[in-house]
Amino acid sequence: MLGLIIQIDQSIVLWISHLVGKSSILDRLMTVLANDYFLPVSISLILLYIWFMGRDYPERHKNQMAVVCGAISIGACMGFVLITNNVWRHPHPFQDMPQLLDPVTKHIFYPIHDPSFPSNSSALTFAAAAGVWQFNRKWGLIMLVPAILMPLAKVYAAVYYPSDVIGGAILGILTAFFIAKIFMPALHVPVAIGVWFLRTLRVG
Amino acid sequence: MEVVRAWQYCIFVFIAVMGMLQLIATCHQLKGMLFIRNKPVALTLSIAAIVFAFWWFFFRDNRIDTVMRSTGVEGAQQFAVFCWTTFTALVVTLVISSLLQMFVYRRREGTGQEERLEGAYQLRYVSWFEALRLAFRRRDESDAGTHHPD
Repeated sequence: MLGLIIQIDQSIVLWISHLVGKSSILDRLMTVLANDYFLPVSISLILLYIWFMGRDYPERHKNQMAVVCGAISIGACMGFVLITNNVWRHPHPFQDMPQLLDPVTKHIFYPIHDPSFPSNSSALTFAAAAGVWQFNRKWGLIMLVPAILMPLAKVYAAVYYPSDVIGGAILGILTAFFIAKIFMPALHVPVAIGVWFLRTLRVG
Repeated sequence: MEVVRAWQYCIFVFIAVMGMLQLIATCHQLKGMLFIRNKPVALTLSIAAIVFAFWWFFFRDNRIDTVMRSTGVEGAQQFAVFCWTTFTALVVTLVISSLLQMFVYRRREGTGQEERLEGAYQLRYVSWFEALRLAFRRRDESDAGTHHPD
């Protein structure tokens, strides 16, 4: 079963990597999307915007809970990724197929060192989107766009296998669900105190 | 080989967050947080600040094809720098806008309804300094047992 998944993963990565170098516009776009800073900062700016959004008090409170859930989900998810990485060290496509290193990975991104499974960028972006989605469906769906684009660009750069991305996405979504349904209700009082404190300081 | 430095990331985040805060203030009419009261000018400048921050960090000197293709600021460091810079940008925005309100836009636009607003939306009518003053005055009144319209 694992062998079949690896075979499918490698076929998809090889097929996608054939596109690298064909279009300079596509390559440039993927370079920007795969970047370590571009989409994480964009997502954070969107979260900042959502924090102040809302016509009235209940709507604003809901949006602030969406941001709190998204932020806690990102933090928790990074912890889970770290644990999984230490349990199972899965190589990157450019390590399994060294012929892709120079023409594909180094052309779009750079060879990263931490383990491939689960994809941390996929986990981060999906945790943020799913966290926001628990409280605000519309903005959750909007945040799904960068959540899909960043891991896709990394598959294009042969940095991750599709299964790494899917694993990261599942981990991110499950973490956000856990945070929204179990963690936040259980820690309702500290979360409410934090929001009240920011509101008293007139920044929430 | 040149890599992304933490201070470069810090400047990028600082300008982008300042721009985003001005955009938020413009879109949600938080006049107490605005640097410029003219809506079209404020909107244009806030978007320009965000675009400039991204251009400066990613595209000047073709950095996207050189510097960005190597390891730079690590994830944990990135997170810490982002949080501290965002906090600093927020405080700087609130202090500058309050000082502008005090010394440049002297006219107080409050109509009494700002005292009934909660949180950041009080900045629609008063500066951050004034909003804090109102918040703590109200708390003092509550502690003293006086009646309040809330």
